[in-house]
Amino acid sequence: MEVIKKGSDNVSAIGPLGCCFPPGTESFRVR
Amino acid sequence: MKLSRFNLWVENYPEQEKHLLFNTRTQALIKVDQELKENLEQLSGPKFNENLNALKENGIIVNNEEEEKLKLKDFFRQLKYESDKLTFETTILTTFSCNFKCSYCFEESVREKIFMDKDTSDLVIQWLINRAEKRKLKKIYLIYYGGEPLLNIRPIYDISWHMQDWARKSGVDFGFGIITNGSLVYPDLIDKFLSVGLKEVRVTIDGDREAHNKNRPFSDGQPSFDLIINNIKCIIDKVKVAVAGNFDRENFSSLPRLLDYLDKIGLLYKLDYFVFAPIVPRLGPKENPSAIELSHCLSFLEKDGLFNEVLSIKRELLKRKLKLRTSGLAINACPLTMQDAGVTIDPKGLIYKCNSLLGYPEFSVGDVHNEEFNQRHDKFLNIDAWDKCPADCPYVPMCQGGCRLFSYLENKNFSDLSCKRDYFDRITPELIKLEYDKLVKQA
Repeated sequence: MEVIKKGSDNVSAIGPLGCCFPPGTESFRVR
Repeated sequence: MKLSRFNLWVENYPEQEKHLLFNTRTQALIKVDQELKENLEQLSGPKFNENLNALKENGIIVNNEEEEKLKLKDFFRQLKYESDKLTFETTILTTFSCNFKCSYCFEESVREKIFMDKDTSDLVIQWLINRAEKRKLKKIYLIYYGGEPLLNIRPIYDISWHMQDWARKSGVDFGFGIITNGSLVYPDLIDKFLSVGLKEVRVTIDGDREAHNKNRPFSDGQPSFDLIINNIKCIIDKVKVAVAGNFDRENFSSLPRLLDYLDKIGLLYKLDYFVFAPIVPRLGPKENPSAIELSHCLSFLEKDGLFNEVLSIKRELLKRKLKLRTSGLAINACPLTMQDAGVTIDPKGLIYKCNSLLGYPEFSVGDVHNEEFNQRHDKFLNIDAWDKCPADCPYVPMCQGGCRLFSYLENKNFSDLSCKRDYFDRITPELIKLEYDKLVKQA
């Protein structure tokens, strides 16, 4: 098994986060 | 023990008998071989036991349904109330006025010759500092936007100067970016802004010369493409410049031609990143905001919509080894329902939590004269649309029950579901592949 991207229960440690509608696109606030 | 209901498989990728497994809640992406896949289906076997701790840490395996429900609830609690740990991003509109007449402008019905005055920009500074001190914010990033923000540069300099000064004294990270049509940027201006915290200029170009000039002419109809390109050339060695582009079916095919042209003139690999997104519908006129305009743009969600175009332009960027800011596999964090998510301040000082609501005061959540938000803020904050989602939907953490603006456009209220599950079914496997390729190639 190879971890490509580590997951977390801690939302501040994962991402990107942001307004991303339409799905698959990115808008103004993407971290 | 059970498999998380938020796991998504992409089988036989990147090769036969290798599989990608993505968890929409923890955002973990793992690659497993055939034996582990079979072990996972049985929840037993040597490879399962060998990797059990890592599978639990990444949320692929949970103890039971109840635990997963609690984790989902906690996920949304964090998203709503702990966004102060993120950068506080504030968009400031220095004016609603613009020297362009873009065919799809989402501020079309509210475009007026209103400029942010000195009194208002002073209040913006005070409001931001009060907010930052009260919420103990550690990172502040401003984005100047419009209309065309560079039609009113004084507030950009004033607000940034004061915020940079305060941030230095307070140990807070500070920076700002400008989203501009690119017609008014010049080197001396960039020097001036660099001294007060400028980090990035984002210029909108909607395709090659012909397509861009059709979509984004000056107000008097004159073409803007060549001037913008020349302006970028003049500032590219001073500051990071990104290119954003909006597309529909008509101009999509011109985007690769834009990349070709930028390459030919030596700009392509000097640019920081590219963001291309479909044009979206907008609220109706001021007196009737629920009357959707550009409703044909909702077609990206239909079966033959812009799904393939969204993916193919990202693939095109990867192929050319250009920086892809995200694959698109992201968590929808709607600022309307987040306590300390960024805000947008209009030229009059009204505060909004979604750019698409700009110009409709009935949807503002406060103004810079008052430190506290109004009741509308709390109404938005208390929306938990995800709570109405079907229990078997694996996309809930990524989708939150959908875009609140779309809910308004579709349901005439902000709180109902705007479910796009069919669309997620089609696009998510491709986004997982893209995310894998991006991470592996950029590693």
